[in-house]
Amino acid sequence: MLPVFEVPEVWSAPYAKDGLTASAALLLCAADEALRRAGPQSIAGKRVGVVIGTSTGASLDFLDCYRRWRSGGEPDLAAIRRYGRSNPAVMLARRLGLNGPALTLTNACSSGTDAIGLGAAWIRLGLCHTVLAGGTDALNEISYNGFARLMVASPEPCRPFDLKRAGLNLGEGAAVLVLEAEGEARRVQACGYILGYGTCSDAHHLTAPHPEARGLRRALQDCLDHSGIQAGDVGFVNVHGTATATNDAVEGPLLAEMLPGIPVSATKGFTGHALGAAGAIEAAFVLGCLGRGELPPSRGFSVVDRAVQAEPVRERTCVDAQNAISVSLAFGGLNAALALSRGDSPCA
Amino acid sequence: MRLSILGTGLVADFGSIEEMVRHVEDGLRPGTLPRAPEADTSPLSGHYSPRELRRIDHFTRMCLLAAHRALDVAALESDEDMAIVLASGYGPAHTTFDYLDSIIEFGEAGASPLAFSHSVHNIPAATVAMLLHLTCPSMSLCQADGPVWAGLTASWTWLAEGRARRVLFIAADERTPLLEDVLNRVRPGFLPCEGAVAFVLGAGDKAGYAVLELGVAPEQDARVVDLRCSYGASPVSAAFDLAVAVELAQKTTQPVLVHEGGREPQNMLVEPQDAP
Repeated sequence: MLPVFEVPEVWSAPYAKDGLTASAALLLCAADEALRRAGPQSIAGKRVGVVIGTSTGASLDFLDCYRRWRSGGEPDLAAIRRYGRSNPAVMLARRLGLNGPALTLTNACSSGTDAIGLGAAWIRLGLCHTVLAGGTDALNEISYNGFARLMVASPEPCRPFDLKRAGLNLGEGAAVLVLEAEGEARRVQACGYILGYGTCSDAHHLTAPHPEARGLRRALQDCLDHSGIQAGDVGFVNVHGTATATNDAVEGPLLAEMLPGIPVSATKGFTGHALGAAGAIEAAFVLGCLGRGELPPSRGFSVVDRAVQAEPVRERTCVDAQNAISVSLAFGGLNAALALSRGDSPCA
Repeated sequence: MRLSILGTGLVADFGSIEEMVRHVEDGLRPGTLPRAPEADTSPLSGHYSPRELRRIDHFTRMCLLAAHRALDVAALESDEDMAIVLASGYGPAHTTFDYLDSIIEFGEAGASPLAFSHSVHNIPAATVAMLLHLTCPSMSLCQADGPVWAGLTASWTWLAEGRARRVLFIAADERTPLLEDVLNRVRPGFLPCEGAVAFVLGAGDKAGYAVLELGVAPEQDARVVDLRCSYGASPVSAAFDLAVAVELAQKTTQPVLVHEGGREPQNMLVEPQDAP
């Protein structure tokens, strides 16, 4: 299978020389950018936690090393040591000399959203002054092949929520948000606020969502309840929108029911599905969209699927929104929703 | 950060909680514990049919059995308002290597989609949720450095913010031939162990078997439990120690301290309470 997207430049290349995995290198790249924006005072002398979502970034998927060992050779200890020092949250905490909790969250494709939800709780409960929360995942042949074998990967550019959708495209990337309590964050003009978060597992099937979106319904309701907002307060929703037949058919109707008439944005047509990083990347997109007051076109979507019910925006669309919600679904029947609010200055 | 412990369950290749407590009372002798080839999960057949268990891997079976034992001690039904937090050093390692085996043996076109999906790190927690009928918040975390502390911190967070009334916290890791070989090369003679331990946790000082205080100073006047020298290496060894500490604290009515090393070493103090 050929790559759907061309990647002209390896953004994380300057970080890869330190003997880290690609996921860890991507994370360092994103963390550096986030901390440049937030300023060194965000972490200096403070209790700083790290919570990073990932999928491939914590997996024992060193195929070449395993193949060699399996055929009777000695294991490549360098590959194993690289894995050992690249655990995303622990690596970042060590690199920056942070003294708060470090947690690598492996909730599959909702990991990034869950990480931000947990990080926000650490701030709210006074466990940390600052939390670096986000997600990271690099493409590799192991997961790429796995999704292909599950018959959910499309050889064409993906078409979220579209009638002719034929599966997902994998992507890679990382995003990190620097979270501080509201009063602290005013120092540097926050580019957004976390209002609340909800999460719930379907307890239904390991690889398919509940047909009536049982867990997503509760996650979204918990998110609204924790945020103190109602559906009418939501300016737009960023959907998970993987472009698989089942995800979109479950996610769309639930959103149409619980957030009726609210503009929908689907971004995986631009990025592919970055697995454990996706929720964090899309949270950053949401903050960007809130700040700019507009949504990008939902690339790949053109033909309405009546079964999906929700209709992502096709064109660049102005939205005067104070609040938005980002939704993630995952293997294992996990669901997560994050409510974000517009900040005092644009993110970028 | 304080948590009440309402139930504890262990399944491991080095024995039961009671055996470990006897071992402590007899005086620790490093490396003397007999080790089974693998943790025995056969008692799951008392809870589930062979059909229900047929596709469940060893790692998940350990988690599920430990969860049942903890729920039994807590005298709870499985459909309580309960979240799941599962901490591990390496995740379901056997299923990961099973998937790599399928790629090596059959090529990319013949790789096993079942092994791939089961190697995803949140599948064990999802399976526990499914079989216990827990439609609930669920979190999996994977790190060899401080997984128990991280998992307990996450559990405390969810309880403190009212996301659930109780948390089923599971810590688990399994032995694999590659990991055993690597550990033997890096630290000869130090064998990995495997097992899962589950705790039913409540917020604060609610009536439970014990209260767990996280992040206490190391100079606490308390007995210390550190059994790594007896049962071998595991990223989640502090959780095994914690299970023993809960039993010891109950038995002696004295506080017991457990230590987890790593980037930010942490101490956890178990204080006994009257049984509910």
